[in-house]
Amino acid sequence: MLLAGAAVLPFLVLRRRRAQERDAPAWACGFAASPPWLPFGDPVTQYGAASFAQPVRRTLGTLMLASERSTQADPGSATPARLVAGFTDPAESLLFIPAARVRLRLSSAFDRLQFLTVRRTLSLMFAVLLLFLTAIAVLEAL
Amino acid sequence: MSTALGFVAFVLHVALMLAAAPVVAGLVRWLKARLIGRAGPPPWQPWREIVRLSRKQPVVAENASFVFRWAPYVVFAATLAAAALVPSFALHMTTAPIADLIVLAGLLSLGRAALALAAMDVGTAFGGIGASREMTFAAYAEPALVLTIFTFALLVSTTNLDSLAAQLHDGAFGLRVSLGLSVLSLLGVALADAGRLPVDNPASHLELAMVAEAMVLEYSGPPLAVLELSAHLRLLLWMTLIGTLFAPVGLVPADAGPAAWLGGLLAWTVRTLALSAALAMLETTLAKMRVFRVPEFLGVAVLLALLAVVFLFVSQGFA
Repeated sequence: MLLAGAAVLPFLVLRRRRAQERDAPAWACGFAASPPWLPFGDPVTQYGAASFAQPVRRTLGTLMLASERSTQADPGSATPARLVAGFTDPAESLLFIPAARVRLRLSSAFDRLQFLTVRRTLSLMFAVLLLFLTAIAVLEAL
Repeated sequence: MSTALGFVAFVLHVALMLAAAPVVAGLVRWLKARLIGRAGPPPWQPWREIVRLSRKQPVVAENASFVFRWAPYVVFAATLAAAALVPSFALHMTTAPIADLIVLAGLLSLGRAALALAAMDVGTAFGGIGASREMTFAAYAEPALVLTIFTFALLVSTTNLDSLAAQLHDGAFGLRVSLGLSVLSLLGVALADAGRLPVDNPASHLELAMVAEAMVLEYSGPPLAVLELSAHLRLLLWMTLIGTLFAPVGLVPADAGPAAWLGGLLAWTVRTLALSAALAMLETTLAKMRVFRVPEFLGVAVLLALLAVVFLFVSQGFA
């Protein structure tokens, strides 16, 4: 509460002093206004999500094994310049895929338990019961 | 009585921060000019600029939304709230219970995010380039700050700035390697966050090197004055924070009374002057880094902070 009050007080003072504002085209360091057929500006010159993320991607690139390949057209050639960027997350190849492989192996190993005969299932349950009772006896003795 | 004194100290502290912030920024500018043999404008020049800007009629881009109009006030409110939490001359002010380092980091992030949104609002390329660079730097500066907070949490068992400063003031911890590493890390973060050299040149309008200046390019008049004041406040906030954490000499409890506050004020002035001089020296000897070198610089800050945590953990565990 105190914090909000402290923050709002100067805000009110400054807000009240504000003169009537005037609308004008965006300044953009003196660049020309966008042409009439592109009323919201040329999308090529605007910042999109990819351009916003580019510095982070480039600087963290070594960590994420990013790759960037640019092809510049030769002088006089009409082929476009291309920038291909991509990355492989090391967590995927080092962590997620091995973990998934282990899970698959374990589950297929335990899957066999579902197809035992009645006699074997009952013996297994009995054995587990004995195991637990022994474990409790040992724990209580301690 | 002590509650009333705490409140008076708090009000004085906020007034001091507001009044001194442009002067400190001007002082650094003046010192830099003197160091390279120019006369330089007087230290109160930023105040003149703020007053001049606040009298002008603002020009707003036609396609600006409410984000653009309100962001300067959000930035200012967040920065002032953060500055109000950092004790300058008196401890145990009214804001002491909420003066948490994590809250402080959050408020600074709030200001940064509001400014980045405002920069992108009009849709010009400069705003976007500034915002994306600022956010890239933040992606490195914030982990370093959080790790430094963690160091203090391990050392003093609290993240409350007020009790932190009080315990460090009592000298219960002496000199620590971890504190030395933390101060280096925090200095790097401060340089990046306040937009000073070698991360960003506050005096430059060279378009491709701009970060903070690029974000406020579309602002004019009073909103620009508010943003400038916020930027100055941010610089003073970092100076006060580093001074309070690493050289908490002369901090007095708020209930010691106005006579004792004068001593605290003197100590704060000395600390701020020393840090301003150091900043001016640094800025005259260093060139601005390339944008893609900054993450390396801040990466060193992160590593130093991490090293501080590891050293501390190895030497004392979770005790």
